[in-house]
Amino acid sequence: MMLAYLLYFALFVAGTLAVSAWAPSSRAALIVMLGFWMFNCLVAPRAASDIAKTLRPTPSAFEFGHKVELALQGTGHDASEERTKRLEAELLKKYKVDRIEALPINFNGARLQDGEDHGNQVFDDAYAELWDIFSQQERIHRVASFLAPSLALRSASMAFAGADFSQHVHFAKAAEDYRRMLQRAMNEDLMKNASNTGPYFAGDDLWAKVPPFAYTAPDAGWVLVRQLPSFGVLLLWAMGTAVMAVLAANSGRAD
Amino acid sequence: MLAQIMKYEWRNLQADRMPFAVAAILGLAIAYGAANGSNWVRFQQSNIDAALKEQSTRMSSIRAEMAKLNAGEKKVSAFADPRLPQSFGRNMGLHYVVMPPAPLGSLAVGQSDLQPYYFKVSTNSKETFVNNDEIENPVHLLAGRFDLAFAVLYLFPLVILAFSYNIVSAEKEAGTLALALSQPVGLGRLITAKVVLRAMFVFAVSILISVAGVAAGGAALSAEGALPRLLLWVGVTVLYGAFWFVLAIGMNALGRSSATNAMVLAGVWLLLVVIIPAVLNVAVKAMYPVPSRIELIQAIRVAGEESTREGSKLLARYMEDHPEMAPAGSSGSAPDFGTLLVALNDATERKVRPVLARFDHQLQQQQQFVERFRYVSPAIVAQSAIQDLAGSGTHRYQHFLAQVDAYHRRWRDYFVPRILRKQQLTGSDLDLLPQFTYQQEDNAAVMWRCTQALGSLCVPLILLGVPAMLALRRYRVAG
Repeated sequence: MMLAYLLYFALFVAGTLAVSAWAPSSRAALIVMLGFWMFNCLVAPRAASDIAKTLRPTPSAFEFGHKVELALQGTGHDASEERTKRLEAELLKKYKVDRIEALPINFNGARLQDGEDHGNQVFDDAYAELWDIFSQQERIHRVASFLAPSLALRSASMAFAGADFSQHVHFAKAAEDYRRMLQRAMNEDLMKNASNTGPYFAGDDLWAKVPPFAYTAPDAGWVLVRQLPSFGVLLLWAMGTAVMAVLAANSGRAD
Repeated sequence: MLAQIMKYEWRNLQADRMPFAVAAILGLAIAYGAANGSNWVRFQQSNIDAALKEQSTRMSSIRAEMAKLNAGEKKVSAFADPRLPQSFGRNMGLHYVVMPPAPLGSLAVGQSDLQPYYFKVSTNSKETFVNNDEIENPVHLLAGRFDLAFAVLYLFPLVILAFSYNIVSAEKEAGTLALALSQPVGLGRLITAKVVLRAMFVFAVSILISVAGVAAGGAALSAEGALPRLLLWVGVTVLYGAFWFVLAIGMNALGRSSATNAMVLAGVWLLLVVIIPAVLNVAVKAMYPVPSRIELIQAIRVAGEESTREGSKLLARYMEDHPEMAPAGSSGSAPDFGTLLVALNDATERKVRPVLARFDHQLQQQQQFVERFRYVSPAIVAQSAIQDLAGSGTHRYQHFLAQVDAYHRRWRDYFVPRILRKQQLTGSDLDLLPQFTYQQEDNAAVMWRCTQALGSLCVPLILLGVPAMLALRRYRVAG
């Protein structure tokens, strides 16, 4: 992260040097550099967001929620009642019995897990699509950072602070995996132990079997690999401005 | 005389193309900001339309379903039976409450991209439906919007400073000041002419493009109160701009070089527009932190657990209190479920109330703090006034939330007795459902707040203007 900031500061130093050597007056140099700062720090982040949103629109919460809701309810072949019937037929066939009560596993457990699997599929699809849009937007920001290096620095500094979106997704996925594991453990216990005729109460030992949630945040290498493009852009800017500064200094006249 | 100086000054400006280039950039930024704001308003409106359309299709299919169920053509579980008030009021028949964008919504996106503008009200406790924020890439929320307010609050002062930072110093440095003042004209009059000309130009560009952009974006200028609000917006913009002109004159009156003026003025801009608002924001959050969402979720959980434990007790108490609501026998396959939920919601709300009250209290403290300290920067005064006029600020939102609360109560008052009486809904009950109509915020209150803002924008004008005039009297024209 320090390297990123060093490159960023270096590009400003070299850029200012180049501009001040080239500019006809100190007034012009000041205006150019202030203008660049304005563009880089204030205008570009907003403009890049707008461009990214125009090219890859984020769905509205209503659209997204409605789509998920419809998919969860399912239609026709996928509707929840249809799925239950299908599951029932499958299980009866598999265990070669003719009614639910005769099944060697608990039907409710199987039905819950089936619903869970269906829901997981729906959410996976929906979020994969949403997160794909976000990452495409991020790529647009990256292209924009060739014009405004603050975008590259922002990306790098958020990433190394562990506060960027990709690390949020990393955590969210780990949490969701844990939830699914927990859900599956409960449903499987229900399937295995509950009868199809009477009530069933699990003991504390069931919960003791579930491991606690342990999260390992991505290490610096993980972040670094993802941030190489940002470093590339900053390096390009630092080198470009340095070359400009050297050229400007050599062409300078003392008058 | 003044007109004559202005005429020559205009020629002067024309000779230097820089001011026009800067003004053109400002014009483009304003036009873009206005278009962006209009897009946001249209986006909100299209979501609201889609939500209401979804509601009306859902209601017609519910009516059809009810008819089928009544005719015995179909059988469903209690959870999917829209005739049961607990199913209808809790998930199947939910109604949207919406806050339509204000007529001048395109003036400023403000907080409206962080605050939900529609909710789906149910008989459940409020916390279950108030978290439907708009989906957005967090990086975009971080950057903020390039809206008209951004162009006016950030870019407009810079353009003014670019036009005026060397208004006297440049003439002095070029040696023309002494020449000009050898004519029968005072320094005061000369500066007035120069500033008035520049102000007229910058204000005309900004205001005309803004108004044209907002109107072209489809703002409802004929709506009640829209025109007076637009006039107030012009007033805020002009006074805000005037502040920056006076600041530049004051700086010039100190008699430093143009380069120093530019540096100092750019620094003041950075301080007033970027740093102070950011510091105030951080300070207010550190001083009056709001309870975290985790705390709220915990309170809801605890309430849920307690109610599950005490559910039957609560239910028994209910039935003692309302013997007329005791079940008459065989209605619905889950006779106690709806009643239990009523008790659960009640308990949840009781548990959550202190957390929410603390949240509201802290938020109120934050607002009071900001209201008290906003005078440290005219940018904050102008920003809150512009958001108020655009209807994307705090006041309009609070007004909406109060209406949501009231509607939620009406929705519950409609369903809870029916749930307890286990009374099935019929088609005619659907005609009597509580309807939500958004009540506009009191226009006079907005006007009054913004007039106050205008007044408080005048204060720094006087505080800076008077010493600047005094300093100009002692201005050394030569040397």
